[in-house]
Amino acid sequence: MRISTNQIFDQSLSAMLNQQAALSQTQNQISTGKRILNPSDDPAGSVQALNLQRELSLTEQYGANATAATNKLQGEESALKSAADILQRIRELAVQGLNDSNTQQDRKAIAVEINQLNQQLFSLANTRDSNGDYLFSGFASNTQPYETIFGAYQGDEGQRNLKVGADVLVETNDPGSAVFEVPIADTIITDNSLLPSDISVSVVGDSNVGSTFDQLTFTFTEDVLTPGVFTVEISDADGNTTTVDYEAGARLDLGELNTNFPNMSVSLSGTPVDADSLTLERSLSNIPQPIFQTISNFADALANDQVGPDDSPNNGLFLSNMSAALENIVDKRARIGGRINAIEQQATVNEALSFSLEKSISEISDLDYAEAITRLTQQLTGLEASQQTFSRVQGLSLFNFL
Amino acid sequence: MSILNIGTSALLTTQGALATTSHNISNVNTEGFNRQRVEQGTRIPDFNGGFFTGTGVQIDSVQRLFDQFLADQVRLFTSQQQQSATFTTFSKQLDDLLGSESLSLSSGMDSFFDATQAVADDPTSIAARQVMLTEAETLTNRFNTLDTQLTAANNQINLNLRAAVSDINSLAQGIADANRAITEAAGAPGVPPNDLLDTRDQLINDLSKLVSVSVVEQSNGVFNVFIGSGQPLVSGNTINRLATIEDPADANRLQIAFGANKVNISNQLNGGKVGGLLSVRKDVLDTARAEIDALAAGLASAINQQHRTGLTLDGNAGGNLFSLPDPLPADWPKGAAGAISVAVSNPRDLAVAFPVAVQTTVNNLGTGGLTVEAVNGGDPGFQANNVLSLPVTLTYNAIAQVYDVDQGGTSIGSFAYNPSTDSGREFDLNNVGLTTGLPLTIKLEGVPQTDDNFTISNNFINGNFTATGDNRNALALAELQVKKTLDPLNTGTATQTFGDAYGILVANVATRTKQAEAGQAAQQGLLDQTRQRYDAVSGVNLDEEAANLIKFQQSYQAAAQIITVSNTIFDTLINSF
Repeated sequence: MRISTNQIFDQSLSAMLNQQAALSQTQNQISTGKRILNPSDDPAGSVQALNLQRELSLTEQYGANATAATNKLQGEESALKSAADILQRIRELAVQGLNDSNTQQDRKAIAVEINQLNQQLFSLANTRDSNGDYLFSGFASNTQPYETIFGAYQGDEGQRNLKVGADVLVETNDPGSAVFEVPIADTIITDNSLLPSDISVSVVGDSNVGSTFDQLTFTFTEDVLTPGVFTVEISDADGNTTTVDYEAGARLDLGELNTNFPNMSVSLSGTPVDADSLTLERSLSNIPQPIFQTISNFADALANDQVGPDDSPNNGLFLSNMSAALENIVDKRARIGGRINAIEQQATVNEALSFSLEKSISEISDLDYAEAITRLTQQLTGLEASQQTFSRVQGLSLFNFL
Repeated sequence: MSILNIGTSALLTTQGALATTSHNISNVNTEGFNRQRVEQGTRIPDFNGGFFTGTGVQIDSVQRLFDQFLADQVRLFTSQQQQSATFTTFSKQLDDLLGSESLSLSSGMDSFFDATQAVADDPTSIAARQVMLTEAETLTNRFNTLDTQLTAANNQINLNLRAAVSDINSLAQGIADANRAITEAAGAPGVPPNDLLDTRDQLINDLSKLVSVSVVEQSNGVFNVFIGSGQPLVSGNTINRLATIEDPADANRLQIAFGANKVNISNQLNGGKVGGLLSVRKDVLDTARAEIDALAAGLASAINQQHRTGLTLDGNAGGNLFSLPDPLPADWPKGAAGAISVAVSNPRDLAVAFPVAVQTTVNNLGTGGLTVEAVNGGDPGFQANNVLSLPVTLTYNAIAQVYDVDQGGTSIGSFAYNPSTDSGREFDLNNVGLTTGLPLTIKLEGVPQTDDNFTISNNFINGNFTATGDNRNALALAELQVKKTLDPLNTGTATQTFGDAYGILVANVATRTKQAEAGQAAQQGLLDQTRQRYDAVSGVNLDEEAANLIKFQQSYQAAAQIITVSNTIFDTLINSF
């Protein structure tokens, strides 16, 4: 085949230009470390990388959310831990104060300490986080949940959820109404005597703390043969009855007398008249009461020395109410612990996911340096060869010999 | 006839051959030059008595070495290669644009949604809200910048079309002029005006770089040139001019018109730079712009709708987060990417809270629970700061297994809830048979007891907005990142997330570009091969010409010797007297 002189030039030139273009692409790849410089280098791969990048960015945001959630929950957890410690201490003081060996002065002193602790508890319920938001007011983060010890809860029921994983939402707060308020129990004694009398009933032992039971009626009947000697008929609303001899101050274990009765011990006292009766009932109020109010009421009763077994409502139940409040807070703490655990587990999952996403992205879009450098060397050799060939071929001309 | 005459004819012929060789050598780098060759023949012999004696040599003609078939092929492949190359250049430009990290809508959307989640983490933080606003602005800026760049690409195509049309017109004029010159210069048959023919062929080659042409040769050697579907660009000495006209549907898209009546022939043109410009605009640029506009419009309307259902930090109804033209133009979403901007300037005005709240009665004995999953703000009369004119109470009836619903004390019906099968299910209160539909989707769970009840009311306490820590609308906004919200095929079911749509856009442009690059390489290969075959016939080879030079030089020396011999024998004759 005939070759024209220009063809020799053009071919060598375009060969060199092509090699330079390929070399420049390799050089760019090596200097950026990326295999895909433009989406068109690998359309499928670059779209996949976009999607993976989005997943990665989401997963990293879930990680940031998890940190925020953990911080919030740890704040709440430490407030609740302090609250539980304070409640525990108040309960100890209450036990001490209820001890009969105390004088009224002693009780006043204890009441003062209880009030101080109650104030601390109250301020814990109004804790704010680093942003100045109240921890225990639900969504109403700028509203002080309890304005006074006797005030009602001012916040709302909102629970803020944070997203710590795809479809994993974690609650990061609890409204104060669910933390610091529990239904309280009261024991109510009613004297049904026709004439004024000094009979009374008091609860002396109670293994059934905090629970309700049906109304119990104690009816005194004077022995017709032996005036001044009484029997007591104990009955409940279901018609279960048991009759015992009356002995003032004696301890009656109701659960042992009749299996239908609650497991508690009472003692009766005073001088009854025939047909006198007393009722004893314990109501569990359905309306929850802020614990500060319960404590404050108790402290007042303690200061006024009105904590005897005969005082109605019987402040002896304070202990069981305290237990219920403490139990509620401990339960909330346990749930927070559970949520923190769940977040930590999700964080582990997120980290593993991030790692594998980064690996996939790297596999798709990052450069295999060994391969690229081999390619670079190859292309350099090729280009040098083309250049040398060009100068050699161009040197050949018949005109050199004329 | 004397040998002097024969020698002279040899000298003249060889001079002609030497001149042609020199012409070839000197035009070795001339674009469009076809090498020429002297065709020489014997002169008419003398008849002397019974025999003929030769009378020397003469130049019959000077021919160019040219293969019309190969020339046509070169033109065809030139057109195709130019079309591919132009397509690739513009397509690559868009590919670069979409692949650029700093302009990427993908990372812009990711950052915006990340910032939204950060606001959900901390709804009262003004700093977090400010970041979300800034990210929203960055996102709209990226849409705007992309739109500007795509508009610039379109303008560049327009400029190129204008330049190409003007070039086509002057080339057409050049061909018409060459036609005239060739007719005038044409001598006897077989004596072609080689260099004029070369010029005309080169003009046609240049024309085929701009647009595909077909050439028909008339019997008098005139070329008629046709473009498109047979529009006569050049016929003889006259031309029909092309012009650019504005597309009646879109003044920013130039079209190509033919002749005095300016008939739009854009759809019939192919090949060459013009074909490449028209096809890259139709197949890549227009599609990409439409997709970006659809994404911008879809994103803005989905986010706006969610944002409008929420309440701001001050308890006002959330307005639009992104501002869009009002009313929307008839050809919406065209131009959406350029028009989108952020409507909110105060970070407190980001609507992060839900407009309704749930109150659970303390007397509830069962384990039932109710959460508001979504507020459906699509209704035109919807007002985020007054979703429920009166509070709605749901009271459970465990015997009938229904929730009785009343609003402000008036019963508005009931719907079934079976704790064993429905726990955790979502109920759209607009769609459960209540006499007054409610724009709420709620989730019910657990086992409620009879008379357990829940009250849903506006998220205000005594008319005051206190739920500043409510992040539910921010969560709902963030959820849009992974939710399928776009319905590009109008099937009635959303099939794409925002990220999906962007991925499809990038993939479309990238695939087209990759195809175009591969196509261009193939076209270039074809063109190179054909050009080699063409050059094999017509191209100048300097070694060959050097050899010819030597050959003709030697002939000339030999012919000169004839003159010397002729002189010697004449002297011999004279001296003999």
